Amino acid sequence: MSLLIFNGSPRGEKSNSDIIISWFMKDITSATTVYLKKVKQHESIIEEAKSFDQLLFVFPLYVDGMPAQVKHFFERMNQHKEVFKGKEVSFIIHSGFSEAIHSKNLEKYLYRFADIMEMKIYGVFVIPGSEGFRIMPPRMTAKKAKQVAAIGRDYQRNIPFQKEVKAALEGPLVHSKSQAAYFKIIQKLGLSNLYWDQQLKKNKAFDKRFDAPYSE
Amino acid sequence: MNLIINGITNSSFSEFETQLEKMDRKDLVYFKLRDLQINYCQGCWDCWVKTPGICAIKDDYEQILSRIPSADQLTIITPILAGYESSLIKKFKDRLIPMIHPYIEIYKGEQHHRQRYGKTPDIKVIVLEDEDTTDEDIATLTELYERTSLNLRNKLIEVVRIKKGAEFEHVLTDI
Repeated sequence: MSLLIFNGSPRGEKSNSDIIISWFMKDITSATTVYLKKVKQHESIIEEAKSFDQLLFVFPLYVDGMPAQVKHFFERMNQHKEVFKGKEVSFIIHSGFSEAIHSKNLEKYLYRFADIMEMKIYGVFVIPGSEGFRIMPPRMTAKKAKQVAAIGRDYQRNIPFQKEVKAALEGPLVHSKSQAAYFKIIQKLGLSNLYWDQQLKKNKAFDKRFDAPYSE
Repeated sequence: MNLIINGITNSSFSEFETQLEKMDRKDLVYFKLRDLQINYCQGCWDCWVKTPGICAIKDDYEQILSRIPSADQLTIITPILAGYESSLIKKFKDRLIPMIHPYIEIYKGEQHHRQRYGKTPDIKVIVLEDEDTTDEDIATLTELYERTSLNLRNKLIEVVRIKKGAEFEHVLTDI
């Protein structure tokens, strides 16, 4: 099987999608990665896809869906159905939210998209809490890396993924009431926003953080 | 004010567009995305952590964004392409993130971003279907906009379907 991986992050090479792809490829012998952030290259990427029989899309959740660049590529694919018909496809959606519910509508659509394209869908994997994967020390992401590697291994060997691995990656649909209450306390203490505050301060923009430049 | 966002990608719906563009009402502000120079969100987050509320990309998008906080209604017009809203509309939506704040809050039992503005316009979606559009596609799209309304803390007014070749005059009258 020959595997083509689409990195759908608008950030391209310096993205959390890239980290997830490196996890996925840990035990994979060969795969080619292309980047979808430049839409002008989409036609040539479709040409390149012809010689592969397995596809993987990895992208962040953007405003409840795929990044617009990825949708642009889907529309091009739809105009070249003959290239993709019968190929096997898989998707990884990651998001900064720590609950899976935000990605569920997109998951539903991706099954429909594969159906429209007459592709065989292997699975859609949701990975919440991805913001900062790129800057976290590897020990913090080791468990997730292992789970993603297991999916990669199974995908290339063409055997079904382990349901418990998908479920573990995905975590809860929404947090329980006690978890939500805990989050509220963390929020009151100002601890949930540390990452953002640090960035704002670094850019000397902390005092402007609540600016609303287009208010009436 | 009702902001009309036309996300049609080509001239396939020319009759609809002609009628739409003929409408002469003072409360409508019209944007035809494919005639504007609008770039894709590049995920830099300057609008959250560097210049709060202001996008780093300088193009025609600011004309739209700057009107959103004071609008009463946002009317999204999209064809169904590959079973989903158009990439043009998605591009418009991806660039809405200066409207929200990076901070996360619990809202209706879920994590959602804090809002930058006190109010955002309610949303109406007008969907131009193709021959292959199914009821399920519309149900998925409706659920998508329910999620978006939840994120922006506004109301989804309705999702209006226009089937391929069907009458649309009443949709424009009620816009």
